[in-house]
Amino acid sequence: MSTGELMRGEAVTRRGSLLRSEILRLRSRRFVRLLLLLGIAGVLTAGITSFASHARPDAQSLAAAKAQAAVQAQSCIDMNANDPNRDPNATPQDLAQMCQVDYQYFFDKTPFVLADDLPGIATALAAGMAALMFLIGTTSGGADWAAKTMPALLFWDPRRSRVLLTKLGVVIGLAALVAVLTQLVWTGMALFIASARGISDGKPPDFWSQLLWLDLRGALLVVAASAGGYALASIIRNTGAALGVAFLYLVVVENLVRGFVLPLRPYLLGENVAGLLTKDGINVFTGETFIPGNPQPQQVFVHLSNLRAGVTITVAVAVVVLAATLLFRRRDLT
Amino acid sequence: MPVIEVRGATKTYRRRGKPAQKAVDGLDLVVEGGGVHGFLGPNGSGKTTTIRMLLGLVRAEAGELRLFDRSVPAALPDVIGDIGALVETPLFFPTFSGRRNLELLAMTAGVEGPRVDEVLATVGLLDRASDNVKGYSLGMKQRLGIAAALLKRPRLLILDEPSNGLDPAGMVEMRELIRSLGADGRTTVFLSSHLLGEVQQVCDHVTILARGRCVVSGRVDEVLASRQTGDLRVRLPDPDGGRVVLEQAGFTVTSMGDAWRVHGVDEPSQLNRLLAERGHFLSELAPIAADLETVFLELTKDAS
Repeated sequence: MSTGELMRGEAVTRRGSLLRSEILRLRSRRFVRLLLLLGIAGVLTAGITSFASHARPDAQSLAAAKAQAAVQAQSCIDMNANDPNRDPNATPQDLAQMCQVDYQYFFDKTPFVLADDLPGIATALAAGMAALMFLIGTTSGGADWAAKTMPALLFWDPRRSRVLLTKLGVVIGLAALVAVLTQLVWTGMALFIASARGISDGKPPDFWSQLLWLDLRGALLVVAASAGGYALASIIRNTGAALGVAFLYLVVVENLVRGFVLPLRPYLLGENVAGLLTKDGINVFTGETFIPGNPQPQQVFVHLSNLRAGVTITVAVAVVVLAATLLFRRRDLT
Repeated sequence: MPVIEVRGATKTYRRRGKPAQKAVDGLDLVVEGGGVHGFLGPNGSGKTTTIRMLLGLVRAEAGELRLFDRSVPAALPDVIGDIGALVETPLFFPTFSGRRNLELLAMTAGVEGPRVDEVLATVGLLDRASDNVKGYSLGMKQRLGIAAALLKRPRLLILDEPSNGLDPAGMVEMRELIRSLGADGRTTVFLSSHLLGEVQQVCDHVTILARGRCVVSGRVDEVLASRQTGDLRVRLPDPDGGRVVLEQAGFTVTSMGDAWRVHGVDEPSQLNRLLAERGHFLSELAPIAADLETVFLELTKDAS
């Protein structure tokens, strides 16, 4: 070993790229690759299962199903018509309305209905990808502390906020990419399945704009989950402990609040995730109240619109990210 | 211009359920540019904490720290490009190869081209560069850490116990590397080590710490000279006869191979005259210099 050897050969020195090295670092991690493969497997499974479990009915089975549905409906109407307790004002039209039976129940294999099944599975995939990216976020954040590479990296770039936020940005970028690709792939598969084994017509006029809105909400959830996971692991400095805290919150804290502190329900992440992904949001029961002059308690609901749920989730994640950043700036790395 | 300048640096670790521990206590330290500066101290004397403060990993409670005349940690981003560091055990992603780990660091600093393979060759790891770090021995990880520290062609190389885990041959190579870096006229090596022999062999300057404070600092030869033992090495044609004369005169004499060690001699000429008057003529008379170990143990005995 000599300085002669050291000085030989000219290294090309240019402005460093923490971002580039962090992308490469994340891409090189085998556990991340494994989790992404699991995600791909999940999307493919959704597609294959949908393809295998649906079939476009031929004319004969359609007629048979409609006939069976008509028999069931008539049976219902007859039963209600002979019911001594029935509403005397109910018209035959009311009975027919009440006893409607969907003929699709009588197919051996139902057709894939694009208008219902595409957004339904898109919602489930968004939730699944959010869980996956939370795991990738926590394992990315925790790995730096487990391998103690964070202090080593600071020898190269001592701007702590920049280092943490770059790492976080890479995880968020991956999450956004995963969310977009998942929904694109699933939409493509759904169109194919609908054309081969289902029904594409009957979509509401705003179907595609609603689907885009759903996909955007799903992407927000996936990105928020990844950022939350990374920030939580950075605060706790351990992947396992971060996952444990998340589990404790979701299983214990949220259920305790649902059982005993109903007014806080609108602030729970679980409720807000449902509010974000459900079309037009959800109503959350927050307890009972008495209205003057009415002795009966009235149930109180809070509406969690998509927007409100999205803002709540974003604020919660921003708080965790801010805490992680401030803590990292102040922390002694021994 | 000093490369490292520390004035009154203080750091106390406070951990829940444990008494506060003052790791660095008003430390003053100046390291001039060029050469190899040894940084010695018993375990817990504050060496690693001082290095961590300089590198912005630990926040000093009081005092001022400067690198290349810039206050740190505030100006650390401006000077970090000139600093290579290996602090305790080098830390890498175990499931990445040695080369991949270095490539990632090189990319962060904008160092590319053949530099990664160059430093791998320098530390003798080129053959194993494609293996995952988790399969490396401690010595190999140490070499990889030094390779990483060299990537930036640093003007200041901070090495904290670089010989940890190295085999004897590796330690010799490490000493040669450190010596050659310190002699290149460009690099200052700041070497924290508990291997006193290593420091004495390769360092031009030394600072010794005890209880978080500097107890002595200066050129190694000056530090040693300031701690002369007053002992002399005496060789005589008639060793036993000479010994009797010296002992009768009140000197304490102990064996030292083929010579005698005479303790606590204020004036060597007195001893020479005494022996000559009794018919004993010297074959050798030499002062015994203190070695770094003696000085270190003497200066840090209260702290150990």
